[in-house]
Amino acid sequence: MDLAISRPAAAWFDRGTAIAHRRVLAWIALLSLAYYATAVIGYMRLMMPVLPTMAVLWPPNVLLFVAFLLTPLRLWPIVIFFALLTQLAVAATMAIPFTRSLAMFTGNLSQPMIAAGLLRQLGYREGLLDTLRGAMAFILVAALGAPAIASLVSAATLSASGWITDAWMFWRMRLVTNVLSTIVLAPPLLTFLRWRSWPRPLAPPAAEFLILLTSLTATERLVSNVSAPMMAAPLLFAPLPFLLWAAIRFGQAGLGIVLCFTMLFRYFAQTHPGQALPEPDAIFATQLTLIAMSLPLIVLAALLAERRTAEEALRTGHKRYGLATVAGSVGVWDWNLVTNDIYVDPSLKSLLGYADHEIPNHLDHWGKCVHPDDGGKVMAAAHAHFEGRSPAFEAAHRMVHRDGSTRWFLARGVIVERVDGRPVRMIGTDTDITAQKHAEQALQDAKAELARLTRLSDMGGLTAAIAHEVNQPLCAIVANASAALRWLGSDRPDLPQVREALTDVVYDGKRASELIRRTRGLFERRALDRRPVDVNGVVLSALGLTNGALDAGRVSVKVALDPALPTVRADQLQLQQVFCNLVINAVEAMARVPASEPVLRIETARSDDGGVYATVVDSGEGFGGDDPERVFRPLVTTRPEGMGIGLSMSRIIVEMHGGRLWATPNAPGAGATFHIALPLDIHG
Amino acid sequence: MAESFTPIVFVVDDDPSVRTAVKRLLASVGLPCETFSTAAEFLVRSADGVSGCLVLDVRMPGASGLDLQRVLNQEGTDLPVIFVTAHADVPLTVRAMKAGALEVLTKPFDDQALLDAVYHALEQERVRSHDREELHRLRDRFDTLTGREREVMALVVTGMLNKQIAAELGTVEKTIKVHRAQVMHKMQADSLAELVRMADRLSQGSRLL
Repeated sequence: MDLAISRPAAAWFDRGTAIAHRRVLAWIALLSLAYYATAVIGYMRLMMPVLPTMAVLWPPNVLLFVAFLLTPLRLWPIVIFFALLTQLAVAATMAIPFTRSLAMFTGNLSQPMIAAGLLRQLGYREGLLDTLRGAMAFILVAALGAPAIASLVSAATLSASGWITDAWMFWRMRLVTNVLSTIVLAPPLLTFLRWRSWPRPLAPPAAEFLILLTSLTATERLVSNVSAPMMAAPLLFAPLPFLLWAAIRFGQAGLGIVLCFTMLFRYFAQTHPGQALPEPDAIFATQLTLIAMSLPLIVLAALLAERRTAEEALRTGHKRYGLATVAGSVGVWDWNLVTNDIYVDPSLKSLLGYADHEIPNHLDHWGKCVHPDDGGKVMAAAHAHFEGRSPAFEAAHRMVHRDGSTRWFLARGVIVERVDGRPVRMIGTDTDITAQKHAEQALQDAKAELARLTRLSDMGGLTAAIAHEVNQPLCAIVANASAALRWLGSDRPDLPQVREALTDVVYDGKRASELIRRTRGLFERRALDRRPVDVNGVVLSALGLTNGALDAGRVSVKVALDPALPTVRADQLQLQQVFCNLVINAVEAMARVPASEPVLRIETARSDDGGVYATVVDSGEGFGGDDPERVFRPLVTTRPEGMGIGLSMSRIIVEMHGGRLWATPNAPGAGATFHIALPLDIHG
Repeated sequence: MAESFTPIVFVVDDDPSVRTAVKRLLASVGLPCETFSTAAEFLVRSADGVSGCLVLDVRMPGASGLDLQRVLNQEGTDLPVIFVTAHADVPLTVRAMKAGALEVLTKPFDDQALLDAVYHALEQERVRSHDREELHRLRDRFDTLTGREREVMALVVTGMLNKQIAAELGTVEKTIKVHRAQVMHKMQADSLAELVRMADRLSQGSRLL
């Protein structure tokens, strides 16, 4: 914070050498001028007959303190040099002896150097008075400590030189003057010198400040007219309400200005023309009273400033949080893991269509909104974090909207509290990623569609196969119907012939429709419905489905399934279709070798790359020396019925799963082996 | 060889419905028909000698229609072939026509188109059959000629005079005259022109038989 606040001043000095030089010169000139003016006024107006070297307020020291506090250490010699020059000019103007002026200057210089050096060392710059710690440091170091030491130095020097007799008196007077000067002048100076970085709420409303000053003036006039000696002490505290007002409403700067005015009023009231000069003790009392009143007020103003900054930060943070919540559809939750109470950001509830009060802040209620299929996954992710298996809780899951629709959320959280190593509190966020998920889904669908189209165009002949199959019954229908018409058209219609022909027409019509129904399944525009699938289960279900054909072919089935098979992500139905096709193909291949004993062997195993490898081995006619690849081409069929696309479709399905399907001949005359390799994680 | 013309439409198609339907259609116009489910079945039947035409499915399990057509051509069985296919593409049609197909019909075909093609084929077959019979007769007559008479006939049809032929064969003109009369008689030729035409047919037909 100090660093952030000190940046304008630092930048002011450090920006580009040419500019920096000009700025340093301007700064020094301004400082010297102010120094000169205030010193001369101090000497002229406030010189005391009793203590001719003492002023009621001595601004030059405060100016130097502020200068040193804001100036980088490397520029201090320049400041000192010009201050000395100015001091000599003042001495010349006021006809003060050179040596005495120099001695006083040494004492005066030590004070701001000690104060500013120490505060800079502690890391404070112009934001000094914005924090409680800074204000305390200011009071202890700049307002009390440094003047005490410097006054000691001055007292010792002057006393040793014989210019003063009562060193203790001098020390006391100088200390009080400098304490008051610092308290009164440093805060407004520090504030005005960084006017550009004033936070908005601190910008003082001018009208109110005028009212404050007017009220103060009126009160002071009133007080100055009271002459009862008994009232003197209580009346010293008359400005307190105004100082408090200034501290609360206008901060350190306002407080300093009002203090300054009060000081002047008091002084002029006490040095009223025509009256005797005020007692030094009366002035001293005024100074002490003002110091006593203002020190707590400075602390108060710092506290208020700190509070205001914190509020401002909180407000900004809250505004940012609000914006982030709305813009990013993010909400915060805070989960008590002991009681399962969970604070859920109202914005999260509203994302699901509920008002804040409609879902009580307890896991039992909030958990109901989690999609039933995803609850386990979310809790598993949470426990993984509780047990230290993951650095943070993170789970993408679905929530059920009030209208029944599903929304995707990304939950993230970390444990913020543990008791005896057991997690008791987790805070995190839920982000609505529905749109993202939909986009992902659309992309996946598009990919699946592209893959489908690609495969279709790859095997162009498939449509021909279907046209071929459907045209067969159509041909029979047309021929039969034509024959029937001819029978009817003859002189003596042969009705039994007509009936026979029409019966066949009906049969073939049904056959065509059945063909279309069967082929439509191959071209359904649907994405693969991938879920974890147990391939062994798929094999067994395929054998169940083809049981009729296996029995009819008197096929003995031998199954060797690896029990430790990993599950693959696949479309169970499509995979089942592949195995059914392979079994049927094997049964038919074996039926064409009548003499043999038909044996079908299906085996599954874990493949080298961690996926699943399955083989379907038959004892059928094999490939007869042909290229085994030939059977995967559409329209190539060795069986009297069927379309010759079962195997090519099977290959397409397996390839869509990212796997491979191929065939190899067994020993000559010993049938064929079909191999399926499916990867563990499929990116089709 | 077949002496009388008894045309049969042979249908080879792997689809039983199509076979029955086509047979029924042909029966409705009184055409005799035999059906076969594979090319092999038909080859067994055609070994006995066939007459008529062939309605052949292009795409069949095992040997295709085109395979069968090639085999028949090799064997010299010159049945007119009508191809039917459920999916006709240009290359296939070209191949079939080049191999001597009469027609390529696309399933489902118009009944009249099939019948027209069949009638056309049978007519072609009838003409060819007639030609074949005439050639048989000529060949029978030619077979009755002696060696010398065949030599004389071969020179006569080139338009040579008897004297020239005699010089060619190293004999006298009179002998040639006798042989020539014998050739005309045996070949039942009324004029030299007719004998020339007969010789022409025989030389062409030697490839056919």
